[in-house]
Amino acid sequence: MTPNLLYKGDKPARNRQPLVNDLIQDLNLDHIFKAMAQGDDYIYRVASDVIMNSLTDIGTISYRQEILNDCMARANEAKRLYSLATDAVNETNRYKENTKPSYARVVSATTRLASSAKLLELTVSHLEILMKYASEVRNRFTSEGMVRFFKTIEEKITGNFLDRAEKLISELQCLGDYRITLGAKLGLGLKGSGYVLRSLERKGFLMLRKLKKTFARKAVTIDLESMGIAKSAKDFQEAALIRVLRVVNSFSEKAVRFFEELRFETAFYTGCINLAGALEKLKAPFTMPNAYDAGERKLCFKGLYDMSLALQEKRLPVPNDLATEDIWLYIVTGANQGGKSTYLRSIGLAQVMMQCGMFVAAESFGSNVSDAVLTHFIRGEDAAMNSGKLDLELKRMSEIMKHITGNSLLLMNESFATTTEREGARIAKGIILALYENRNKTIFVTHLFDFADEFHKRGEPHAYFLRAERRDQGERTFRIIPGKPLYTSYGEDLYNAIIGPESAGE
Amino acid sequence: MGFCSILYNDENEKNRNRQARMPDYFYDLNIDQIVGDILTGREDYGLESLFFTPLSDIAAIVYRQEIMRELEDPGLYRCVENFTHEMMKVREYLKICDDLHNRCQQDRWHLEAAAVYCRAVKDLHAFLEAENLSSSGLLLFRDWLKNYVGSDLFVKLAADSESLLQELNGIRYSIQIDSDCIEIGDDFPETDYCAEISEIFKDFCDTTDSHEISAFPGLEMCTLESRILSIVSDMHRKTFDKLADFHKSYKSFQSHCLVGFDREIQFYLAFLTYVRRLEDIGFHFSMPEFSGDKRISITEGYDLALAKKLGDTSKIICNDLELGGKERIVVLTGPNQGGKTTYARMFGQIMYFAALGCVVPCRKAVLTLFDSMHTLFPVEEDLTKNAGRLKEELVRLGKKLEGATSESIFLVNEFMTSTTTYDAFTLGKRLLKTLENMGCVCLYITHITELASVSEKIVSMVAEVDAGSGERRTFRILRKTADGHVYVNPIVEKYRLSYESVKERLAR
Repeated sequence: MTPNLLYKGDKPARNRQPLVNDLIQDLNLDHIFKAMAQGDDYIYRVASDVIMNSLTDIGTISYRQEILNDCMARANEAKRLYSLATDAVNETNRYKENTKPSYARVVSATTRLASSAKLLELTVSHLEILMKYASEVRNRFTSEGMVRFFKTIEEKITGNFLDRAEKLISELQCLGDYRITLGAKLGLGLKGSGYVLRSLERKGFLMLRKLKKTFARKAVTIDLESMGIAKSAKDFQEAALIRVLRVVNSFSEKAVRFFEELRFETAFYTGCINLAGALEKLKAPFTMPNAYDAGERKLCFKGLYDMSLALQEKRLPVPNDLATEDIWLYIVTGANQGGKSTYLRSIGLAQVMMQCGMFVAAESFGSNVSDAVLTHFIRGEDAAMNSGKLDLELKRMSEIMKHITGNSLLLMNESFATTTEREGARIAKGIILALYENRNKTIFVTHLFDFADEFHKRGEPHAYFLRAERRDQGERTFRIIPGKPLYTSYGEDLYNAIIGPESAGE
Repeated sequence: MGFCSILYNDENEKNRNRQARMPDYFYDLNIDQIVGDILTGREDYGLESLFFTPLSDIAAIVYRQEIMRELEDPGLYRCVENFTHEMMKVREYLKICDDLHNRCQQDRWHLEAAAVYCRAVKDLHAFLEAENLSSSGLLLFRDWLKNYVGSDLFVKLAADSESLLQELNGIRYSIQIDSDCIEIGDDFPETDYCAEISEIFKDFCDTTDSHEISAFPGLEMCTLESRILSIVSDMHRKTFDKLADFHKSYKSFQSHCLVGFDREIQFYLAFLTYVRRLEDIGFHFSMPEFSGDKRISITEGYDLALAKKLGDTSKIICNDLELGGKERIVVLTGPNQGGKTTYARMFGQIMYFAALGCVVPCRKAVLTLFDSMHTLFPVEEDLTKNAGRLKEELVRLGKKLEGATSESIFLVNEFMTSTTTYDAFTLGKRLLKTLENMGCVCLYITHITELASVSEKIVSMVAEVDAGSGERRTFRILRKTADGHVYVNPIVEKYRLSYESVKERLAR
């Protein structure tokens, strides 16, 4: 039994984003995780895990989107399911912690069986709570995933099951001696084999059974007079009881695992509900994105903003629009401090969140799914120009090349700025051209004007040029608009700001 | 002619002297590593000496080649391999039989060994009969096996073992354990408590789990087990008497010939297992031909030990070798780390494995037989340039030249080059002349390019350097010389980030 609230069927192999630490750092994902957790450490862990395990299957993405919409519309009921699963996990864990076998003594199978019966009782009682909750709220949910989940609960946790389980619990809880009958045959080397537990009778009934005698036609009795034989008989008995123990424990473990999974999966949706609440407070819009096939090349959005920045600064950043199709190389140029990095981050965040079934920070957003989102951002530590830094930067790029696939999304922010502009341009040209020819979706924010200009002049049909909007006086709007590379520099702006603008006479 | 051995076509060849010691060239050519890999897991069969002794008779080689080729068929291979695995079990069971103390248990293990043996022999026979065999070795063996399986001795052994096993396996009993006594009965009620309770949980857990209880591990029995067994054996006296008789009447039931076959066939299985592992990752092999004249032609050969180590065809460069009947000596020059030693190993390994009757690491090979192979490689541990070393080298050379004939092979690698260039040239020239006069095949690696032209009969080959990208070695060994230098941005290439490298990485 599995909740199946994150995946429709069996869980696929984990598709963890490669170079995940770079991704978290470059996209400032930590602020998203924190807004989801609202102080709950478990939700924080789940949020980062689920978001970093990207989906590439559009069916699963819309499966989660539907469940998320369903849960957001019934936030209280959804959060109750999470706390119910959390209680079940915590209580069973506490019980297991308290009854942990001590290494100092050997615990007999009889005692262990009693303790297993107790754990069984605990898990069955939580299943009963879950069943009652399900019958109360099931009709309010509409999504495929939630409806199926409640149907499973109804089918599996039946009254009949609860009755039989309770009967077994009371049977096993009565401590005492058992009489055991085994069936056997002769195995390899005449050792007994195929031992099966035929019956298990409480000793209290012994007198009654003695009268019946056994079913055997011939029977021979061995007295347990010698120590060795008595010990072996005891071992035999233990081995048989351990089989019973295993059946009971295997159910308890399954039930606990089910609650753990349920807790994990509902933690994700609870986190999303929390995040939606935080955005609503800022009056920041969000929407369910449209995911397109990995083979397509599409990127369209309206009112896209950097969610992480909005959460940090508690205000809505400048939004951007874009509508492109069949484009896979985006080159963004323009003055520093013009909102280029924020722009790049807003696209990366939306892509990553879309691919785990979440809403994104925009009025609308559509993109093809990508196998991986890879980031190559300039780091504070490699801003200065020297060959050691170039070495480090190229090493990171080489690492990316190890993980990149044809349908990955690569976000490059001021790459190759650790060397001279001329050499940087030469390196960039080689890499970008190879990526472009391979149809790799790449967004490159760069100040390498000569490179960008040369590429623009090639007139490649699948390349698209954007730049940071800058009013004539050097004033920045933080908006990124379509446009060919313009030769501007921060230095000149700075010069103009401090010394004064170029005069016509100069 | 009757069947004598799956490795040798006649008694003479079988009884020929086999080397007990690893030949010197094993180390230089890394054949020691290859043979070590081939024999891993088959140490018990004592096959090393087989590998130390290449064959020098074409008929003997062909006998093996035919069998090797036939065993490449996966069905036949699996069948023979199964047979050897079963024979291993037979040995294991007989060993257990020796180690145990309880007589009934000994009898039972002996019976198990005999039953496994009979089934294995019958399976092998049935498979071979249905197979369309063509190698003379396997055909002879099949005829022998047919006779054996039809013999009265074997027929009775097989029938007796099976019927006795059936009787023993049908025995059932029950054990009832109380706090003061245990009761053994001959009845078998058909209930299973664990199955009953797991039925309650069937919607949550997999109920196909076996509920068999495991108790008393190990082969020996404890006192309780022996007591139970003696009670059960009393209940089934007749069957247990038959068991004791069986052991007495069939003390040693294995045929000597099959025991020998089981050991010798390992040669083929070991080699083919090794080959298949490399073939699975894309490496090629071919069965060499022996032209009878002195021609040598190798197409796309490679170093087996290196292939095994790198495990990736894209990292291995294949090379050819063509020597017309008159051409005997190749002088190979070129940059360090250019693939020269690897080339020598490739050549030596191909000649060696061909003479064992095996397939060789190349696309196609036409080869000649040799009576002895000699390597003259530099001794690694002593890198000091002194007269002592040269003297030691000359002593080694003298020994090798002593027994050499026109059928010998010499692989010389930077030998006698520790001295001055002038000496190295003069000595090299003299050695080349000696070898040329002797008429033997020789691959001579040296950094002294002048040696390539000391005689017009010498074939000059060069380890190529890529003209386009400076120092890069292509590891291709060609019959011509050319090199040049071009500047490459070292950091960009170090991380494989040039346009060409990125394209290559994206294409994968």
